[in-house]
Amino acid sequence: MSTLVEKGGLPSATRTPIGLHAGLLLVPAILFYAVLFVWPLIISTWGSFTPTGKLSLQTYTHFFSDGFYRSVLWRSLRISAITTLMTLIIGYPIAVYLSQNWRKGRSVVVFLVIAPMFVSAVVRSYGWIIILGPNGLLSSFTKAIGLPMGHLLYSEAGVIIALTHVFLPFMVIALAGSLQQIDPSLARAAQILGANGFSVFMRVTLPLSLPGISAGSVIVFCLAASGFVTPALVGGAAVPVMPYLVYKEGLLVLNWPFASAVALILLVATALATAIYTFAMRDGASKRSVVR
Amino acid sequence: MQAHLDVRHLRKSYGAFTALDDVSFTAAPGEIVALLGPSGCGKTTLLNLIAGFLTPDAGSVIVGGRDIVNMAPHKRDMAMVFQNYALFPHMSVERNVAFGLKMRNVASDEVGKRVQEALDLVQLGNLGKRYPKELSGGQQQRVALARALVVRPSVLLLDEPLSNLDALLRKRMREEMRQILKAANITTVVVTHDQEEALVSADSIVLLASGKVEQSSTPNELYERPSTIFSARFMDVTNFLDGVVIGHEQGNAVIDTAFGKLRAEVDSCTIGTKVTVAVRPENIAKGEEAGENCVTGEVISSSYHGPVRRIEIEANGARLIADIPVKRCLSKVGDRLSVSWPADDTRLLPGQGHAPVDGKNLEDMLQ
Amino acid sequence: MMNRVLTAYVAFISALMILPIAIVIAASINSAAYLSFPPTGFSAIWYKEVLTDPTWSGSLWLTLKIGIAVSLLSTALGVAAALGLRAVNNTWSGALQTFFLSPLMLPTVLIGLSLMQLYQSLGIRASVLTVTLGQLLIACPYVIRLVLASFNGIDPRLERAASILGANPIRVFWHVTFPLIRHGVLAGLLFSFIVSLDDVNIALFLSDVHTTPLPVQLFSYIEQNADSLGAAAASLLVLLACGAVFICDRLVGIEWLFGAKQRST
Repeated sequence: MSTLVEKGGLPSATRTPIGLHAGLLLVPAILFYAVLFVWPLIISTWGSFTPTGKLSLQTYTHFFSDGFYRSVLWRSLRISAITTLMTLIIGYPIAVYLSQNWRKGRSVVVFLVIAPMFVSAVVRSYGWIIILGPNGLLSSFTKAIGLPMGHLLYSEAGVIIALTHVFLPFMVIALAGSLQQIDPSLARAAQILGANGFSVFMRVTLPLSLPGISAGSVIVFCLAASGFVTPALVGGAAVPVMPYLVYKEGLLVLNWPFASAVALILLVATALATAIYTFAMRDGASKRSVVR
Repeated sequence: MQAHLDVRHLRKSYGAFTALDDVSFTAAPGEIVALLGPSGCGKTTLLNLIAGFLTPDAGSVIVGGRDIVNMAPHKRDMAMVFQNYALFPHMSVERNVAFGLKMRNVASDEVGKRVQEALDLVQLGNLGKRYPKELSGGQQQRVALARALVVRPSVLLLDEPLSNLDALLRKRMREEMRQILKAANITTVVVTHDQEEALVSADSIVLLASGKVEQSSTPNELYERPSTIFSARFMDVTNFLDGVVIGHEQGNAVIDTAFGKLRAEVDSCTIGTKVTVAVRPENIAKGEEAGENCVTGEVISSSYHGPVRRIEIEANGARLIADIPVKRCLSKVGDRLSVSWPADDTRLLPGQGHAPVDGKNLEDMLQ
Repeated sequence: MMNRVLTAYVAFISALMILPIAIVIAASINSAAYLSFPPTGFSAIWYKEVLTDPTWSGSLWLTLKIGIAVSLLSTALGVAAALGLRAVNNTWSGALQTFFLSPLMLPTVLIGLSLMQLYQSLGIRASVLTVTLGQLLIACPYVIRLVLASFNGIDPRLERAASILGANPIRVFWHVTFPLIRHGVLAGLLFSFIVSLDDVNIALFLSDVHTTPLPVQLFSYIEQNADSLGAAAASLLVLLACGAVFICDRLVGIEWLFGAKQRST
């Protein structure tokens, strides 16, 4: 949801006296993108369809006919969806807190919740390895209270926990942005008409925050599906996801056509999931009879 | 059902700033009371206190005999029309109007009926399925009104309901709103800074200044007989002359001013009091026959105002402004001119000098 | 009452958010080589080790070089592109903007993989340049977005005023436009540095034994070992990122960085 460019391009008031010559400033970027972005993508895509020099769907059929690979795709989508849900549930109250301007602890919370976004996923995953590992924080804690569980390292649950941690700031930002835009007098209007706190939330705040929920969900889902470092470190070979497969096939096995195919399948899968979700939400907007 | 509203001795401060200081007024069942005053006078704070969005430091809000000052807003059986309408953007017009009824658990067929009635009342009967963003400002305002009226609240609160409309629409809506409100027969409190709006819409006006009640009376009273310099100034009286009371004869006080002896209609007065004589420019006529008060001065300015010429005359350091019908006025700057007006159009106000008008915006920010 | 519950919840989650990073830093000053809780003692020897060991210090140095290169280049390209988008204001600019932001919508491993294939097919070996060029693709979009955002704050009439007073386009830019978008540009510089600093997905595919940025080095190390040395290297990364964020806050305010991370969907 672009807040910068209104539909149809930049606001016409920004037509500057600089004139068309400034349009030439676009050339370096366009060239750069063409050579280093579009061209390699074309090479990869073409490579995925020509594993042995001739055009064929071999790589794709290889992927989809193998139960293991299908399970990897399914696992990626599943983990991403659960992570998205977790960030939404955990993050919503935080976004509500942040949108209440009178809260004194706001800047501290902003720092603690958002700042980790700027730290590399490697570092954060390492932290989770330490926490979730066999001698880690969590295990020491559960042993201490007499509740011996196995450790969560190299498990799907561990990966989901770590991914939720990594992507929570994105969801919180999207949600807080949406919540802040809600006209404060709407809550008062509902109140004076007889709605108690719960009703105000369910009938006014929540429906009006749906754009933020959608934006946040799409962002987190796509990022989580494409994330490599965290599942690789926290899950390892026990929790293989699509990016891990790309890594393995691309860098270790050096089967580039197949690696490209895997990467493209991942791209299409996330794009499809996003499209379905967006379509469902748009349809729901007009039918949204949340108040019944 | 409409109820009696009794506001007693409300006090509200923010730190060192006193927004409301011992404010009281009442509204009889079905009466429309306007809270009038310049920005920063406390009128919106007062409305929010009545609604329950703020709690006062002292005082009570009594509705139908019960003190509800500590009751949460959603339990007060009131309704409010906000300055920016506050229509729920994600609900259609119908659902907006139905909201209060749903909160009161009214049966759905009843809801449909009453919603349609309310929309018909504000003449938006066929726009029920539209969404707020598809409506014009005037239409949104009516939806906001319908949403408030449909629940038949005991008290209806309106916060500057017309100030977001353009001037022409505002004039039309004033009278229409009064008709709708009178037909609905609900105890109403309207906040406005526009004195003309208050004069047209209200049964009684409470004029506020700096958190205190300056004057509380009917529109006619407030207009004809403002009781303080502030009230007079707010109601657009522009002539103020310092004077001293020197006598009382035939129901009029005699005051010595720079323009000579003037007479003002009062029941009683104390000789020697320092007072201010006030008279409206439109009540002053050219010539010496228009009333007991007759003064002569030198014309120092003359400007065209459509139906009248606004003439300013000066004598002994004091000035008087008169609005003379254009056809009757041939005076130019420098001429000597005599004007006159009756004693019963003359007001006597306590005190002398200019009444301060506090226009703090802090109060608005704190709501 | 609900307020207290909310505050307590937010405090709890905030603590959890910072926990993994705090743990890593705590592990880095543990005197024992292996991870132990509670720590056996405090020491800074692991930092010394990281900074003196040629593999690690070489990585660190490389990361800094690449980071600065990415920062400067992406800002140059991005500011130019943003200005160009602004000047050419028609139906194309919307599509073009989406195009420029599109690398963020693809899985980064795909970008890394495809670039690697390009380099290999051309026989280009890994170097500071190859990694830089790869990371530019994910840094530029952020710069473009940040600069475009700062355009929103500019009253277009300011530039017209300058123009009618005699300033040619370059001077209009220098005296009027640039000072007003300064904040967006600065935020872009720092943000792209952080993006480069944190990236693994692309650098992983574009590096080799001789050219290994710190995050990649760390990744390989952690895959095999979990010890205090790794923690020290990780803490250095955190330090660098914090430094960049701190500088950004001092110069332009931290809100700029938050605006960058939103995706345009």
